[in-house]
Amino acid sequence: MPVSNSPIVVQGLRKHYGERAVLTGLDLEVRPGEVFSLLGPNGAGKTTTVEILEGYRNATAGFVRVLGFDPASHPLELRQRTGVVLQECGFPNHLRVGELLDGWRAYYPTPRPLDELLDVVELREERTTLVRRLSGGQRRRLDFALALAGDPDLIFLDEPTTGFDPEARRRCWAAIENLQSLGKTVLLTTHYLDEAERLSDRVAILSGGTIRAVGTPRELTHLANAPTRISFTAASGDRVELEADDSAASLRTLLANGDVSDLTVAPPTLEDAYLELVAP
Amino acid sequence: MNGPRLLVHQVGMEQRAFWRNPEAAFFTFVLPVGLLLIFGAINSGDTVRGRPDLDPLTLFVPGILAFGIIVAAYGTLAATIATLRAEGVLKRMRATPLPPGMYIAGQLTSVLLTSLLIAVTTVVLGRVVFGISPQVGRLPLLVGVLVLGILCFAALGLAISAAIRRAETSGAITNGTYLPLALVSGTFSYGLVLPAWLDHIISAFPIKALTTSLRAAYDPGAGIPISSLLVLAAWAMIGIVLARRFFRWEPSQ
Repeated sequence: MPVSNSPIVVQGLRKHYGERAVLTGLDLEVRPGEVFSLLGPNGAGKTTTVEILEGYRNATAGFVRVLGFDPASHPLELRQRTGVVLQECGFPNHLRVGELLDGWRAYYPTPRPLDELLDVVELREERTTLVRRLSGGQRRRLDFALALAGDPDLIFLDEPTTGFDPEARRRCWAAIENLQSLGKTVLLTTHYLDEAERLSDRVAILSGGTIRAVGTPRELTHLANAPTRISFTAASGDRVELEADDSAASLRTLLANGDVSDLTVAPPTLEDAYLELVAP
Repeated sequence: MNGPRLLVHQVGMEQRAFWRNPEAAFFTFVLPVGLLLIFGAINSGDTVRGRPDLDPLTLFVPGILAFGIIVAAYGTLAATIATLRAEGVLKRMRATPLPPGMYIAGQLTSVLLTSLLIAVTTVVLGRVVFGISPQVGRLPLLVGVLVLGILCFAALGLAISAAIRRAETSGAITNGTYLPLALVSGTFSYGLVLPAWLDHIISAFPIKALTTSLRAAYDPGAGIPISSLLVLAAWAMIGIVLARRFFRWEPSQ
């Protein structure tokens, strides 16, 4: 088996639920210190993949190593070094925010200081608030703080910003960028392609139980043959929209020949590439 | 943290959460104490059929003692675990390096503390308010039965929690299993006479066994309740086996 210092190495991963094959030979390598996003439509096997990496599900076949451990055997050493933000997981509701975080910190050999955790997720004011009195957004931030309590090297974030307002999303992104700057490795699943594009060093697109494409957001965007969209207001006052394969040439012609205003140029996005790659 | 300190830490968290939950605190504490005071006052001065020598409260106080343990160790534990599972708290625990056995040990130790507290309260109130005390020579029996009973009902509570899929049904399922059985086991009454065949069946269940064993620590006319102790021990084993077999960390899909 290969020797690698990559935090996550997956080869030929298969998962069947009875007759139904959810993962049909998945290969994945997440490198140290990168934010890696796993994208894919609902039912593509994202959650199954992440839950196998977290040790919640056993693989039917294949090679899986997380920080050098087989997660299926639930090694204590692995859980000491990973943090997990799960979808829709509750809290012990009758504890206060600070008590719960301190409770969690006690499970880890080198926990992050409580004040630092409260600051990262902006819950300093809620330190003595009962968990059940927190708002939805605050609960999601507490989720994040619990995942960071042990100062993990590898963090799993399963749709961390679902249900956030735009401002809260920006703050969560800042927290993820902060993890990146600390040299942590992050595996992110998300439905928001702008989020993946903004945060990820590399992205994998999962569809039909296997990885369809992997690369930097820029590389994937180039893979797709999506055109650049140019729109402007013509001299006549009409709004015109064009699609251009060679945007530089089109713009040169446009600006040389006419009186245009309110010009916008929208390059192809990860979303264009994504839609093309997951199309059946 | 090392093992013992981690256990103390877990028990501290569970106890804090327990006493802040008004519903759990009411059912485990206020309910048995209220029943003891109200029905103790009503039954005071009554007589037991065939036992003219005996104050009926000598049988009533240990009955409430049994009820308190069943509510705390079985009902409340099962509902707590079922709620934590349904809400995904148990799943979250599995992502931490806390060993699963340590988490369960924390829950059980916390239940043991709560149950012993309600037991001591019942014994003291029985003595102070109604002048009913356990027999001094049977104090070791009383303590042994309490510990065995708590273990037995906590194990059964862990086991039954696996059958509770939604948190909202936990009260119905736990109350629905122990309350009818407590009524036919004579836990709240002292003159209950059942047909012999039914009495044999009921005696094979742990509620009757616990009630009978605790009464033996109070009633000077009772012998050592060997068969009831064996029934309790057998149910404790059954509870442990079922809990180990069916305990789950993740919510039902």
